[in-house]
Amino acid sequence: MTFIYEFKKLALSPLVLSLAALCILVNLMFLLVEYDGMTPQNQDHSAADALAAEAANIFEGYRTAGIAEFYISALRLTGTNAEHIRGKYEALQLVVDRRAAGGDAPRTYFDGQTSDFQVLLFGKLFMYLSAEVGLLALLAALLSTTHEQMRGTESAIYASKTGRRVQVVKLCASLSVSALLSVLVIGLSLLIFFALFDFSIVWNANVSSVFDHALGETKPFITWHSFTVAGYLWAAIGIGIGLALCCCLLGYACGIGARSAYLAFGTAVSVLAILYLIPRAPFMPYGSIARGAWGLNPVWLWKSSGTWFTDGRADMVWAHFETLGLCASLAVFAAAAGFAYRSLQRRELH
Amino acid sequence: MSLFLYEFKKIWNWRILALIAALAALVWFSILRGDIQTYKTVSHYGLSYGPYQREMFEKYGPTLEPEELADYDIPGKQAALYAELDDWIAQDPLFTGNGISTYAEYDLFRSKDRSGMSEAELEPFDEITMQMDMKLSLDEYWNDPRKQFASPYVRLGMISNLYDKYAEYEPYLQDYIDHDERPVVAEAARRILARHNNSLVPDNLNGSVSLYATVVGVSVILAALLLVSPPLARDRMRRIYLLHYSSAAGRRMLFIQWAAMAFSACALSLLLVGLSAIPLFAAGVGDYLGASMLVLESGGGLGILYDITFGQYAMLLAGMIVLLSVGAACFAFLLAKFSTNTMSALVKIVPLGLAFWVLYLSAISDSFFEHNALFSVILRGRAVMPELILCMMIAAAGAAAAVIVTARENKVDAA
Repeated sequence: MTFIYEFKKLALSPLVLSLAALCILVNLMFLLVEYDGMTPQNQDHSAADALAAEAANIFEGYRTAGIAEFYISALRLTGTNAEHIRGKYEALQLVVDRRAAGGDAPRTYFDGQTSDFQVLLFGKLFMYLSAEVGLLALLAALLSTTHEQMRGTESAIYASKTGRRVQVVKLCASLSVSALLSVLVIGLSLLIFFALFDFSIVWNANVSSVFDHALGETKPFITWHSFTVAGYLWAAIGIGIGLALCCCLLGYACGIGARSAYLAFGTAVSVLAILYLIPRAPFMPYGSIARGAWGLNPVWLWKSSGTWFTDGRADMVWAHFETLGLCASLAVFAAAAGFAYRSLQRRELH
Repeated sequence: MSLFLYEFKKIWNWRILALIAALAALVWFSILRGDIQTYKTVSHYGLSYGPYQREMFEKYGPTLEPEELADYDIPGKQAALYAELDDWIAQDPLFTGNGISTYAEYDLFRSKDRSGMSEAELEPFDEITMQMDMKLSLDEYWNDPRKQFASPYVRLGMISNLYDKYAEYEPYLQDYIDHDERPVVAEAARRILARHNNSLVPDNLNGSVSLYATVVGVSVILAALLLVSPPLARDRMRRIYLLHYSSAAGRRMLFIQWAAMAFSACALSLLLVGLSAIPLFAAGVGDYLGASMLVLESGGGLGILYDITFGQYAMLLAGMIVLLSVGAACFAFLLAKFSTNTMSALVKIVPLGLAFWVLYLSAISDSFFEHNALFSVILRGRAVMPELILCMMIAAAGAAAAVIVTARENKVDAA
């Protein structure tokens, strides 16, 4: 019962709802601007183009070592750091060989024009979407945890039979509201996207065949697993929602860990800023284990959107970095939330 | 006045200042320090003109007269470099093996007529010329300009670029005057032509400073929001404002609080901009304070479109950051005023900060360049300094809205 009240408090809060609406509005504006810029050259392809695919078996005989050497020379990597990058692309070579042998060779659809859509959808739109839902989730968790304190009802509730356990209910409520808002924002924005752009691609085709190039690069789009286009889209949505849940847990931990709303928000922002900015420092060179491990944090996962489920450029050292990173981040932030809750239970409140 | 000072003291909370200092250190170590290092490397070895433009600046001051260009003797320097290049080539087996012993022979070899070649001949020919070119330009050091600078071929390219810029500028400018549909851009080209493209301001100065100012600008605006927003929202949550209103100061208090917020934002942004300018000046940009920014860039593009010196340009950038910080503080005041508690104020101020961030990146960064989106895409190059006008409008709109709200506060029922 408490859960329903807490859920309603959050989900029906005009602030949260107007923020979500604002996010959708921003996406709509962004897509309209992009649509305006794209119209002349990219709206003229027909379904016939898609079928008249150019058979270009680029997987056959393709060497991923070339990608590794490119990064190594461009970033001037040496020693073990270079070996880590080489190791990753050697592993990717197995995937390429398997694809080439299995015969699902990539073909070029739309005369290569899908690349623009790919950058727009997975590069730009998903970056905005995951940032927005992450922020919404963070703020929702902060709102929920600090709500009683802000309204002056904290002492009454903590003195009741439920007591401080109300914060567990609030965690469940903010996680569900975050997931719900993510679905709402991502769903509506994608609806706008597919309504605006004629995205008539073969949904059941392999994602490497339809998106023949990695975002903004010359190498092919090689995923570790074999994905269909629809499957890849669902998987990307899943990662986006997962990142939102990470932010929600972070907001929750800060919200009950700090006694002041500003301190809580300041801590959350500092954590995110540190996660984002530290890898630019010289002690985390490309290809090092430290950078690879740091790259698993939610902010860097967000930053590498568009390369999810692929090799992840030179930033990432391990395969499946997004799944690994999401699980690790969820575990770390859940532990932080648990720790914050335990310390709240023992704290003297004034 | 004492009320203002107390409000001011409330805003300058040491905890938030410590948080800002920590974030500033993070931004410095992760972004700005690298930018400064890049600027230094590029100034000494880099890109289009290497150290030659700087050498001319040191010798002839901020402007270059035709007789000074003649005095610098670019053809003489080119001849010396050709001689050095000939020595290089004469000692390299890759060239001597193909019967080449001077640069002139290499040039002849490279520009051999390809139409008569068969497919089988063309491929090895292309391969060998590419290898020769890579060897001459020390291509293995392509991402280390310091080492690449050792190549006379690279230095020859730099000095030839310099010659192009100061002796062959007319066709580029004439192209702008004849074909560019943006009146302000054409006018800038006309002005550069009238003064014979004589400014010796370094090529990488405006780009580096503009990039630096973007990072500083966004960080300063966010820091200003972080500093000024808490006290007002807290007063409202704890209902201190009712106490204020029943005191002798009465509802004038809200105006004082706004003034303290705006003044604090102004002071903090001035302080942070001043601090961020120190490393930039330590890297030597101060030498160019009097040099005009109106100059043709390498590659024949236009840089800054207005006749301002580097000192004025830096002041304008700093002024725009301060204006935007004050504007942001005014809007934060409005949002906090209409919030019942700190958390709801925060939830409103966060999107405000993000909006300013996006606005800065999309319309204010690259100010006064021809490719600035506000100037070029929205206004189609018809307005002079639209970035500055936008900043002024934002600050004025924020201040006006805040003054209206504080004036109306005298008549509302406080609850």
